[in-house]
Amino acid sequence: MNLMQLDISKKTAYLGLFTVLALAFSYLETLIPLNFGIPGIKLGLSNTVILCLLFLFSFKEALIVNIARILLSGFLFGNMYGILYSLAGGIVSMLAMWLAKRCKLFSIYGISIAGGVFHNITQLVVAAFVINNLKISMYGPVLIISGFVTGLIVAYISKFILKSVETYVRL
Amino acid sequence: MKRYDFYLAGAVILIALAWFLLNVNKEQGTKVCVYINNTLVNTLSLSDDGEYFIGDKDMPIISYTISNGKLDVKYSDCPDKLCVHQKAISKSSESIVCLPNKVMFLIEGSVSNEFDAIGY
Repeated sequence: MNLMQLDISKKTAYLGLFTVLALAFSYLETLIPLNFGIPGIKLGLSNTVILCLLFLFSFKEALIVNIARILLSGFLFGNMYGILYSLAGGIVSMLAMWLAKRCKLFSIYGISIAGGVFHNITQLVVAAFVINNLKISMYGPVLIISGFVTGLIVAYISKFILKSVETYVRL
Repeated sequence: MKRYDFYLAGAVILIALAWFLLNVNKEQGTKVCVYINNTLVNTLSLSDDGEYFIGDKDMPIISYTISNGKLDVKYSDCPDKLCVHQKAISKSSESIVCLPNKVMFLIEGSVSNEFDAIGY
């Protein structure tokens, strides 16, 4: 199967479906009150979709779907601040995952961990700028570890999805 | 998993640990600085027990309490309530931030002698 060789209309349809899937995951996550005793930490389920796209298509497609997902879920379930944070985190984590994939040193686990950690660090940096105070950096280690753990979980799920897609999906 | 995955994992955990170690051993603070939009609007001592409000007392934007030398946010009108869920703070340079309202509580000062740092 080679998704890169799909014609443009088929590709558009597939990317639309992936966007909806990512959006559904985003919504699903707002329904599950994951409370680890620390505010602001979530699983990042929609990142499984983005990670799979990065492997099935390329950086460009994954980035487009991610930005569409962030804007839509922000307008539907969030607020302007949420969009700002998610966009910054989303774009930087995409770049981190893309670089990690390009250098060919890491497996899907390493790529996903890089994405998760950079996502959280970016949001902390943006928060530090909005508040204009670096003292909220107390949060740093918590966010790094949570990005690490969620990155691992996302990679584990994505691996199953990619395996099934390669086995069962005929385009 | 590849070999470099483990290197990455190790590096991430080490950085988090180093960052954490830089932050522990904080000392009990003495006062609370309340910032709105980055301007200091109020300074309270951590020994001034009581309930305080930002905004109108009957319809507050945020209400917070100081008791037993700890500051806790009790109510906020923001949508996510992250600041309310956060635990009470008391140690120097700890903070509670409410991003939607652009409010920050910062603990400052330390109980011990300030000249400790230059003692030989």
